[in-house]
Amino acid sequence: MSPEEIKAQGMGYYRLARAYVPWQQYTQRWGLEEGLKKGTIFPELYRPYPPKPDRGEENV
Amino acid sequence: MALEFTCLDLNLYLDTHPEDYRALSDFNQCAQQLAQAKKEYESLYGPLLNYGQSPSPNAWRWVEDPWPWETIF
Repeated sequence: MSPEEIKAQGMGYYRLARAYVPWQQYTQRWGLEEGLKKGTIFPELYRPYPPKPDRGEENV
Repeated sequence: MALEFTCLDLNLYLDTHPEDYRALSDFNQCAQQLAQAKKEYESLYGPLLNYGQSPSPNAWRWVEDPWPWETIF
């Protein structure tokens, strides 16, 4: 598939059957305690599992 | 513990971004603070590791701590 065809399908630059990892840029970080609590010091990497409302679980 | 975690996370970031000098300077600052905090801890409670890190000049301090089962919480 040509790049034009890929674009026409709305997939932008990306080719099929390839894995992509966007490059991280260090801009800011959380403080010591907050980083430890959340498991990362990088806000852009923080992605907690959603809480399960039926069990009344909370994610910090 | 929080200091050590921040050092570690910066360490991991630097593994893939070794030329990010802002991250490097933050890491160095963090590592220095961590070393200072450990030194302070050790002066109060004894060595954290048996060798390689903490001198034990006058007496063998490693066995001075209470054993885990002797600690009363």
